[in-house]
Amino acid sequence: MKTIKIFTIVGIFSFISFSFTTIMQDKWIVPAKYENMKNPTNPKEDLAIGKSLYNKHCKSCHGKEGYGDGTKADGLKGDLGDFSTAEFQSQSDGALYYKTTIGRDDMPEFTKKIPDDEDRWLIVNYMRTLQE
Amino acid sequence: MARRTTNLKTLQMKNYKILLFTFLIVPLLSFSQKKAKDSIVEKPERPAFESSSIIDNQTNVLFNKNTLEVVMQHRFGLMDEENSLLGIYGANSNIRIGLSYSILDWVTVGYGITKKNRVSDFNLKAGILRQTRSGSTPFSLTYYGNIAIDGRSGSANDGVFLTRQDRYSYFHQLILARRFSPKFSMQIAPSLSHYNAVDYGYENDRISVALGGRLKISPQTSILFDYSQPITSLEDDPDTGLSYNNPGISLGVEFSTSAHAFQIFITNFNGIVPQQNYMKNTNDFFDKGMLIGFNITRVYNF
Repeated sequence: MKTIKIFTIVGIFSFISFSFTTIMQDKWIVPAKYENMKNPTNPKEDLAIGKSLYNKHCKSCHGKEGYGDGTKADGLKGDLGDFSTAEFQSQSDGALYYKTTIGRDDMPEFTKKIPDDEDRWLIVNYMRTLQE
Repeated sequence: MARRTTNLKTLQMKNYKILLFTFLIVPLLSFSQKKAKDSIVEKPERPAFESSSIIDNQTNVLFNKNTLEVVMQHRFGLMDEENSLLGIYGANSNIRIGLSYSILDWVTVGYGITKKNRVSDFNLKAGILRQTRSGSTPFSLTYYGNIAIDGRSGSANDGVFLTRQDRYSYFHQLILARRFSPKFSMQIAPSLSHYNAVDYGYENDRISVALGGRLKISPQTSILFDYSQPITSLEDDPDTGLSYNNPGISLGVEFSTSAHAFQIFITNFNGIVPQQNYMKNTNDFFDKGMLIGFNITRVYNF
């Protein structure tokens, strides 16, 4: 009987303590193939096209400056990241390309909306300019 | 003599065999040549326009295979109509709801219903040439065509149709488009409209040409213009004296996002279905014929 009581108390406490944790987003693992992928574009060229594509496809969630504060951001569950931070910018071009292309959860995959690989690289180049 | 003929026959037979062999091998040879050429990378240019239409005409834009586009087009009443809040409360408004699906990267088929004359239209758009980035093909060439069926009841005051064929009308258009820069694109689109049945004394066919363009003023906003000039001249309406030869003039802006395009504009065409615009329009842009309209599209990728 005593053990059951102890277990019940421990159970209740552990249950309570669970409610104070926020569910952490899993680390987004980028396959090595993409991680080390070389950016085939010149990052200084066609930035206007990259900006235009970013505004069309990304801005509504990620925000104009990439802070993750777009008009649709509130309705999404995951952490949208902040493109202006050094932490975000420390990722390789290939990693950003992978995340923009394949997506996960609320982040859609963009191979259908933006079928040309080069266009997605241009978006990566534009995201680099959002660093502050 | 008989033997000579057989000889001749076998000789002919042999020749045929050689010919046949040559013809059969030709595709293989040409295929291998094509492959060698393909090693030079020729990239198609990015789309010249944001959506499949530019106000009252189609653009050369084709979506990828397995894309569904839902279109809602609305034309309010005439802006000059009395007490109608610039035509928003006006009579004679028109609406079309359409769906189109890309069955291949270069072929889209669609269906739409329009309020005016209860028209159902089946349409087809096919890419023939694509502008390339190197400029080796300087423009895109696209075909757009439809078959429309007038769906009115056929009672005496609702349009009389003697036979079912009288309800049919057709439209064919070739769209030559060029993206001059990321900001500026233009197109020229000659067309042929055909009505199976017209009033006595009128032409069944009309050739027209349209000129359209867009200028991007911000990454998501563009200014659109569209001008449609009928070439075949039609007689004025004997009862009302209205002219069927007025050009279509449309000016507007377009806002586009990842999945939507929204166009709002002033035009004098209210038919929505192209042959209706080109052959039956009597509104004169400069003489109280202006109206407000909008097109909304939503694109779904599968």
